[in-house]
Amino acid sequence: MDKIILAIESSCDETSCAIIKNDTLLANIVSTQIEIHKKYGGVMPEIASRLHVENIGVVIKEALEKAQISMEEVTAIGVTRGPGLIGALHVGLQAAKALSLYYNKPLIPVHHLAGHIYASEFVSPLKFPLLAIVVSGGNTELVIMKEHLDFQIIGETKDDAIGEAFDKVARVLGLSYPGGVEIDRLFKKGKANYHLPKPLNDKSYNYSFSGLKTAVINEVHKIQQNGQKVCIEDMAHSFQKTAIDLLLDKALPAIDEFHCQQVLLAGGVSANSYLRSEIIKRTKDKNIEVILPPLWCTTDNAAMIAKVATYLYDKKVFAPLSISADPCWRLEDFLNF
Amino acid sequence: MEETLHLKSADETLNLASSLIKYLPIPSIITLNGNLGAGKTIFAKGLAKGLNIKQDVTSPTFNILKCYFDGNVPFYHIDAYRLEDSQNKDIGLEEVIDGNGICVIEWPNYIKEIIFDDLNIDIQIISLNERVFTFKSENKKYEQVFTYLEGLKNVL
Amino acid sequence: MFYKLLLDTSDQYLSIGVAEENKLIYEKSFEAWQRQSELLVPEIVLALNSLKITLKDIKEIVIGKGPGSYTGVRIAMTFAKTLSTVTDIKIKAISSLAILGRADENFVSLINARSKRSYIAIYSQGNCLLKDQILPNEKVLEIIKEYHEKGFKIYGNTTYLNIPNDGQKIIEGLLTFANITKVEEDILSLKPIYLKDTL
Repeated sequence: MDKIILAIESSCDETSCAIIKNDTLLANIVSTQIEIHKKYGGVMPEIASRLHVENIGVVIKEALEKAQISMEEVTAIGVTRGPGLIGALHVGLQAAKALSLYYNKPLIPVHHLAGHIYASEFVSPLKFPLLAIVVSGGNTELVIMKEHLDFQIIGETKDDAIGEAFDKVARVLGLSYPGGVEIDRLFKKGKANYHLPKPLNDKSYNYSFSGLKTAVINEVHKIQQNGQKVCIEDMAHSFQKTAIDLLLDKALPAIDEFHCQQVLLAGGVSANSYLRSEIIKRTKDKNIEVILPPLWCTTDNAAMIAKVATYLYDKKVFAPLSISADPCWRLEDFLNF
Repeated sequence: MEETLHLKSADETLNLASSLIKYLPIPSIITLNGNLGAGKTIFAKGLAKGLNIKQDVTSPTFNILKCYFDGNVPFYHIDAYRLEDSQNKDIGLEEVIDGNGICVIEWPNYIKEIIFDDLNIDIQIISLNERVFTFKSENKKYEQVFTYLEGLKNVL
Repeated sequence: MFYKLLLDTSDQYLSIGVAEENKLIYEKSFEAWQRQSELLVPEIVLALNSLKITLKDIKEIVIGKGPGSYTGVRIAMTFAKTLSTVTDIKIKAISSLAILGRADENFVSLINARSKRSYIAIYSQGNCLLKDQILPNEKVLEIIKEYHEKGFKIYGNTTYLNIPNDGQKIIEGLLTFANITKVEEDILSLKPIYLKDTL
């Protein structure tokens, strides 16, 4: 019996629909990447990434067509229930509920961060115990998994997520949004000439990136008050190096403490070039497999949601049609809804 | 109504926010203006502390809205920073702003169309640790806050 | 049997109706502020079960497309749009202000737009005399006075204006306006009307 999961993701900026048949990804349609302007001959209005109601029909239709699957063949429907933007989550949820009701398919609520973690399965099967370094736009968490669908948060940020710190520092430096991409680009041109402190540099697995952001701001002001110019490339480099070094300083000891076989990156910041090269460098002498998700996996997409849903399906984790979205859904509560 | 206070540390910001809870009506909408690093999120953390919320209040910049329901009343923390360039702000914030608890909004100018009856706080950075807080409101429901702040000034 | 599903979640109410050809055979409307996302589908299930039909018997979904609350407006529309995209179900999307009254009545229609403003429109026998727009409440009150004197009904929850009203007939509104509304041709482009975007 084929297991065909259709999943919908609309927690933030992207509207996406994906279909996985058994273990094969048949389609992953993401709203900002569709070339539908051509296909629909200009009838489609310009797609702004936040217009989920506009995009939801298109991404579902495209996914079914690309996968050559009919809704009757679908086994179950997965959907991101949270965390994310409440208004955006509502759209994905209503769409999933509509399909679930009409075609009488079970509805599977999926946690967005679980999706980011499982995105790595598109590269390599997960091996346990593993350490997942979750660094998405709104989250910075260290998660230990001892088996499938088992998430233990051992540390997280107490204020800004690392991605937010990147965006805010970029703003202070006058760079365009999204800041993370810009800083990474300038990183390669600059040097670590500015000294920035590593906040919350203690033995815990928790982080504070707000202090680092403030340190950059203060440094920039100090320099400007001395009548000098800030070297943007060097400041970008110094910030990125400090932030990523701190991220790994605290995360990597968990590998030994929890006897991990695998360490993976999850979320948007896993696209960062320095993070990707440093994590390999710093784990070389450990007997551990490092999974770097491919770039298409680091941004929000429904494929990763479908992936988690396939596991949840086996455990019969189904939601009633009265389920509501939860913008603050915590990863450790992923079975509570 | 208007009051200005001079604070010398992040701790003072935290404590001030926490102490205001007693004087805030339910619902309350608090708008925070101030540059990056001014201490807006620290102020929000202080409010949460005053509401006995145990969860860490973290920056809602990316999620735009974060909600905390484990305190005395619901606490909504909005950051409109990412909505600056947005043409379409259809993300359902109005319902939260018109809600049933304490709602604090950072970068309110980007969503000013949907904010009303607010207590506005402007935070100016004077030096590394010093801030000047200016409180303003045209709504009488925040009267007690201003009475309290006036009293504080005479003590500080 | 031509069954139509009538849905509105544009503002404070959740309204569901089912019509067989042109006859209303189920209606339910209740206050569900901020709970439409949770309750819409379970209420639809209740409606269908009580009539012993399924969604597959529904040929057309008639919805209020806004203005109203940002969240509310999108709930019914997303439900309808999703189904219309993958099945043959047709959609008729009607102004949420229009459906506060019947298409054979004369009325001024109001929804609270907050910040001392209202969404307002005027309909007469199904024709729009004043198109859907946002106006400051002082202007709105003048318009209400003028049209009330002409015998127009005042529909909508006007508590925020401290004036009486003649109620609202959302489900009948959906049913009657559907008869004079064309089916949506371009489902994929269908989007809610917010009005505030134009400010």
